Amino acid sequence: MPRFLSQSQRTLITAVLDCLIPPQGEMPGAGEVGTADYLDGLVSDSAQLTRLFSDGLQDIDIAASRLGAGFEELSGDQQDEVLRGVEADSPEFFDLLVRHTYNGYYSNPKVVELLGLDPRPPQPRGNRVERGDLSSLQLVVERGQAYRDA
Amino acid sequence: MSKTDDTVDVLVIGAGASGAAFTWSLVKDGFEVLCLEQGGWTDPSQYPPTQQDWEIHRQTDFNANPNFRRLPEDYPVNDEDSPIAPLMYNAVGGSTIHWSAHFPRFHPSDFKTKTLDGVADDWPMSYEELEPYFDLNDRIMGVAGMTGDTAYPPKSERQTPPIPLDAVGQTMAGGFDKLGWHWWPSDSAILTAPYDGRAACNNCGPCDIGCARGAKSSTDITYWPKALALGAQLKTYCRVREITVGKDGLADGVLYYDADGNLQEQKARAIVLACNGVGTARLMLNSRSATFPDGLANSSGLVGKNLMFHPYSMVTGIFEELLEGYKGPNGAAIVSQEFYETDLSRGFVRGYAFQVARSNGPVTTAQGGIMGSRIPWGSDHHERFSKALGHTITIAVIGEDLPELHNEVTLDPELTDSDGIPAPKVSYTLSENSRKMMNHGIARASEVMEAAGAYDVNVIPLLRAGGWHLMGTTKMGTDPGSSVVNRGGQAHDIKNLYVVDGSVFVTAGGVNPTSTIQAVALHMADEFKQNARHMGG
Repeated sequence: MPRFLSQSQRTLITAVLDCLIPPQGEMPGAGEVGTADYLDGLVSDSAQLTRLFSDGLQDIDIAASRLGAGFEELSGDQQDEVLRGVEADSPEFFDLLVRHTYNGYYSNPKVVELLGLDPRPPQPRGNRVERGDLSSLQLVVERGQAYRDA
Repeated sequence: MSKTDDTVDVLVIGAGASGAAFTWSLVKDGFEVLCLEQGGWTDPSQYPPTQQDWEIHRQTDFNANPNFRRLPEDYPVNDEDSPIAPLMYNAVGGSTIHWSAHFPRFHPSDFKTKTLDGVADDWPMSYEELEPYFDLNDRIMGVAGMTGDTAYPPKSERQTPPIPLDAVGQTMAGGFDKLGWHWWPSDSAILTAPYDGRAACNNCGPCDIGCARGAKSSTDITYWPKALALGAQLKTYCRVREITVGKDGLADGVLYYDADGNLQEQKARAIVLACNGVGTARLMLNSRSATFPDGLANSSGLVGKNLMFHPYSMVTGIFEELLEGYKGPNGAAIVSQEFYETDLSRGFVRGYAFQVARSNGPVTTAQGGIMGSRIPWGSDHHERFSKALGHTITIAVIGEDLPELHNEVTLDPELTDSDGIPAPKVSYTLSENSRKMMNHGIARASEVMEAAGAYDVNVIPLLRAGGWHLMGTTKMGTDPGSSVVNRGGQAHDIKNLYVVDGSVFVTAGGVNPTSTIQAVALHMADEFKQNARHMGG
């Protein structure tokens, strides 16, 4: 359910997300797995983020139009070029865009599962790990006292 | 403003590592103690590791930095003039709620740096004197580990076996063995078997965002239940604005804001500060009066001075094999103290330790972990990410930065907390000795990473988000001209005012301080009780 993003902003940000984390092999692009919804929810909860993201998306749009097209219609290299420019000119917005994109993407159970991990919180199940082999500590012990008398 | 309570015998400010231990020790022997804590009780069943979005909480409400966390009970810290940002948590349990529970002791030499190395000052107490308090504290907290560590005098039996090595610890142990360097399973305040009614760790991983099982020994589940059962009083969401002084020059109470923001007064016969190395100095500097125009008990001018952090350098090795370091307690699988003691041929005095840390889940890995180097976005993102997730080991090089007067906590002229109380400002620079020490540590850590099989090594020379350990700002000593409190924690200037937290540390050692902070607090509690009996109190 869109809250902050207009339809055109949603189309734009989905294309941006696929540049930040592109689809590759088994891994989906960030635009494909609902990261836009995640950002939408987050941004609409914060007046500061709403302002930053409105301005930031507009910056992307303007930078794209200088290359003669909408961002979604540019080639991959051109899209990267546009984003590198916005990253340099609007670092606060871009830092938050990348931060929240990573948060949304890598907390998505579908993505976590594709990484080979259980898509569940650490508790209550925990993990099985190996106690390990401590026998080589004998070598440490044989070298003798390692602290200074005081 | 209202006076809600009668005068209490002992008022402790702060319910964290030291305040909990000190309070328990006093109430155990029949003293009346009231503790005021600016935070509240946390609910372990709601800690982030029980939530689907657990990793994101590390950036928000469980961020270790109060400037980012910004909960109502937090106060801001101006850290613009410091390359290291102070970290802390405000709750019953204090920063033991969010620590990773690595629990080494200081070494015998740490208490005698002046005698042994001609630097800083000796402590007015020794390792031997603290040893029974280390042991007592270990029993109350519950410590996993293994006796026989050659880097220490023999220690008493640990409460449970050591935390698991798993692939991370085993791989690094192999590197240390290859070079013939010291290593040992870390002492951790984490139960690996049931103890004292608490459950064993199930190796879920992220100790730093709260232990939902109660296996990690935070003081809200160790000292506090015992202290409360013995009659301690604990009031939460009470933020002390200042300590007041009577006509006789003694401390006579505090002014504090209660949970509703109303100013209250509490009278007390003795006042004990346990607010950490930043908060304690802040409160003393905020407690100005005609008698104490430069802050409370500050005739030495040393309140707020000699602030010590541990500088941390992070050396991360990347390995071909999958090590799954996101499983198992994330603080320190093993430690090495090969370079702990002074060897002047290295070009610096004093030394450092290696903490071998595991790694992180996918969100924190993408954001660069606590190392701060985010995986780049764009066409090579997946390749870079997959090389990192579960394939890294980090050696945290923790160095001893010696006390210096210009490293300090002062009051910020403008910044305040939500009650309008002036906030602290920290100013800090690393000494040349520390820079040489950390560079040496980075080189040696890189060497052992390669010996362990890392094909690439990534270095953060000085971790900004590494100000976990806050020490030194009310130095302990025998001379009132060159220290703030005596070995009992008693202020030289005000005999019923005490400091029992890491502020009293004379030097910082080169290991995590909490075990030593608590042992010192218990030692001070015993001196307090003896003095009180002596005075017929």
